[in-house]
Amino acid sequence: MRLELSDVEKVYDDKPVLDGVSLTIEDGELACLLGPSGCGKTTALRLLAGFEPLDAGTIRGGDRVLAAVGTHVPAQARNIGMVFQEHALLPHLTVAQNVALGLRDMASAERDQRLEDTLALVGLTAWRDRHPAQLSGGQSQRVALARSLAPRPKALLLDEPFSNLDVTLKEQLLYEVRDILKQAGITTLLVTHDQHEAFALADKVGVINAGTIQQWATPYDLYHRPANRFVAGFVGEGVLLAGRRGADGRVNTELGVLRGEQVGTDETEVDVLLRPDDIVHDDASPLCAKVVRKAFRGAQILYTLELSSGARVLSLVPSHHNHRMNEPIGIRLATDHVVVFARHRVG
Amino acid sequence: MRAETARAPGALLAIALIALPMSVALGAVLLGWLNLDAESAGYVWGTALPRVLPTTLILAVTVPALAVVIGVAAAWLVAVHEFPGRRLLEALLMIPLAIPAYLLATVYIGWLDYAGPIQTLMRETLGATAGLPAIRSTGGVAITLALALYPYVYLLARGAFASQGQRALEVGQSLGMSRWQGFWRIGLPLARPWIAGGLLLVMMETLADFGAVAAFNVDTLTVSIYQAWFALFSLPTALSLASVLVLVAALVALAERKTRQQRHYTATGQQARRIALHGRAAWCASLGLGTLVMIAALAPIAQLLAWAMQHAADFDTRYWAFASHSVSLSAMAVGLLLLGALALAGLQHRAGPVGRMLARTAQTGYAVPGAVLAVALFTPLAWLSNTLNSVTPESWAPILLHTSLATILLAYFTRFMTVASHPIEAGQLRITPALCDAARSLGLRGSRLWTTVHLPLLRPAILGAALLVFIDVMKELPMTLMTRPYGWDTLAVRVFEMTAEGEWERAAVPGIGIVLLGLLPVAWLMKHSDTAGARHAA
Repeated sequence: MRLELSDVEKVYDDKPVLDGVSLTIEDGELACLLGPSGCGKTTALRLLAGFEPLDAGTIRGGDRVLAAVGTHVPAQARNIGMVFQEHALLPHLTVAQNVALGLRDMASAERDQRLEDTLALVGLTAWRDRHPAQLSGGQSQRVALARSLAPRPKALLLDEPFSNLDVTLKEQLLYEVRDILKQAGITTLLVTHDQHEAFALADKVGVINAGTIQQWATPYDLYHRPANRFVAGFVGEGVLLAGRRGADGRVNTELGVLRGEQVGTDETEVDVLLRPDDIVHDDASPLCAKVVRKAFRGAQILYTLELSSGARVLSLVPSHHNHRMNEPIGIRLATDHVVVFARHRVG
Repeated sequence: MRAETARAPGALLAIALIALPMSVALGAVLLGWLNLDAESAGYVWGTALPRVLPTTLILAVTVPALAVVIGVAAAWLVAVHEFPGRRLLEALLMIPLAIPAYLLATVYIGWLDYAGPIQTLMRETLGATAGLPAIRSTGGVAITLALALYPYVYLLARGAFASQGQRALEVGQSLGMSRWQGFWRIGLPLARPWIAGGLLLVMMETLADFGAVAAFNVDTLTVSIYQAWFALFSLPTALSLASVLVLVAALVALAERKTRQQRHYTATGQQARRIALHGRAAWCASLGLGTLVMIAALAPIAQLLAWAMQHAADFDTRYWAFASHSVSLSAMAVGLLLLGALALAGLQHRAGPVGRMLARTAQTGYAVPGAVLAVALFTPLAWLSNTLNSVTPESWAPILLHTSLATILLAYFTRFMTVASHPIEAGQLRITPALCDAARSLGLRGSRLWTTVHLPLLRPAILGAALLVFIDVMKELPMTLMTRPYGWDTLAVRVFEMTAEGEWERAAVPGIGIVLLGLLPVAWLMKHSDTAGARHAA
């Protein structure tokens, strides 16, 4: 089911939490709302689920108006499933009984079949008679997912469902969940503050801040073609370096002229976004910068380098290039996308 | 192993001493059977048990069932919804905790008995044969006890619903359930350990009740223990009956402990928003809970006040003696119990597995009905006193331990250790190992560690424990009645005597004092149960 929010507003205690949010999730698409805590992402999810009424705008599911001013389809009638952060499994029921909670008003043969299919989908058939206390974090996550998928909702909402899991488990589970959701073909909206989750799971990601959507795009575009400084700063690492547009339209910085697809403003005085992968270590390069910080990341080292002007840039380098602090190393530009913003005028 | 957690023989000894009265009492109850002669055994099996055991068990089932219906409904309404007067009702619903069941019984009997205003009015308006079913019946006691005891269920269920009720509804709705279905299928099951805990507390209180059933002339095990002692003068009979009651109570207490282990809150992501009730639903909620509060708390208190005013002439110098006995017994019990509870809290972890087991024993006193403890502690103390009298010079006699203050204080100490320990152990949870380690790393040790870290952090818990013990002793009836020293009548004893003579209205004079003092710890509970819930949820 296609989900659509148009100009949705929500006010709590005179404070706007959602301030004109519009977004569209196509049928079968996996989307994500990504933002810092308190940005309004969970509120958007709760409005979609129907737990709270909206103050302005429209929410549509398929062709049906789910919520508008004066209209509120109750949550239980929306046919939208939800997975909660704390899973909220019933401790006294088995895995199978938990999953079957939403399967009511069905012939028992059909219900059994649906239960079997759902348990198989999440790979928990062997665990069907266990109780939640006997499950690992990843397993109870999958039970929660299965429980919300079993009634075949038209759409699924995930409220930070991975935030209580440890990193390695999360990594593995993210891809499993993505496969399960894609197999089920269900329209999904995930809410998270963790960009790795968003990138691993979602086809489309909406970066949200202060109650408004900053950019709605694929993970690739968010990273390489950020719409504004907030998105550039919130997604991925990088620094902004002063640049000036020459007569040929190319932007020149103290590192040289930047080549690649131009993204952003046409103004002359600009700040250029340089990602750690835009600057390549090259011992043969005449351009040098001093190592001022090293962050060892296993296969790679993230160097913070100081240019002669005192400006700093980041560079991701294979970790066998292990340089000492304060050592000058050769670098060169390798930009595919030149992302520029109008120069911040201070004062 | 850290030096501070090393086992200390002194700690074990102290804990053994604290657990001694409880162990002795349990031993005495079991030994009662050995001294039972054939005639008494015939009375126990043939007369007493067939008469009182069915009533006791019926009450032990119906009272908790009624209390659960009332307590859960009230808790669900105030914890998840918003309606006019919700805040006030949320607090007022706890007030019955301040009214001992025997006082509520007194008021209800005064109202509803044959000669009471309601039946009199019915006869005057509807004819001479009009009337209510006999109020002094098992059913009457059941309703009275349920109205007096439902706050135990209410308190626990409210905490559970406040932290997870809203989320339970949302889970239900996301699975296509209505709110009603969500409550039954998710909210209620999730709160089950708390509700079961409250239910079992009510069951323990019902089994232990003496004053209310005595006022209603309904004989239960506690009454039969009292009769065996004070009418038949047969301690072995009383002890044998007590052992049956202990057995039932122990099963309930075990079940209660088990439910406590199952209570885990799962943190909810954000503060739940209450569901606003409108129109008729809102009025039903306000009116329904208002009526409950009226019947179970406000009207009885008003009635007690009115009766007390009418019989103000009763209020003479004797009442100062009753009140001062009540207060001084409570104060002494508070002092002793706080010392004991703090010793248990501070020494338990150094006393090894045996010490922990003994500490648990000391903390199960609340499961043993007061009537049982009274007879069970009297026997060994009487023996001790006689032995001492026989070996000490004539001039020391009579030491008469068993009629002295020692017996009654020991009985309070044994029964209310649970009440004193529970808040202090809960307060101790706030003192994390990291906090202690941090203090130790700064060079604080031993008693300095206790005075600078533990005691200040435990202060609210100690105050709470003191309040709870104070009022519990104040209200306590069977132990006070059975083991008080000669001439030490208290307010509670006075209520019992007035009630026994059928003077309901005059019982209000001592009764109102108990209620007014009892409101203090309830106010404390109102303030702290919220923060306790929030702490669990965090």
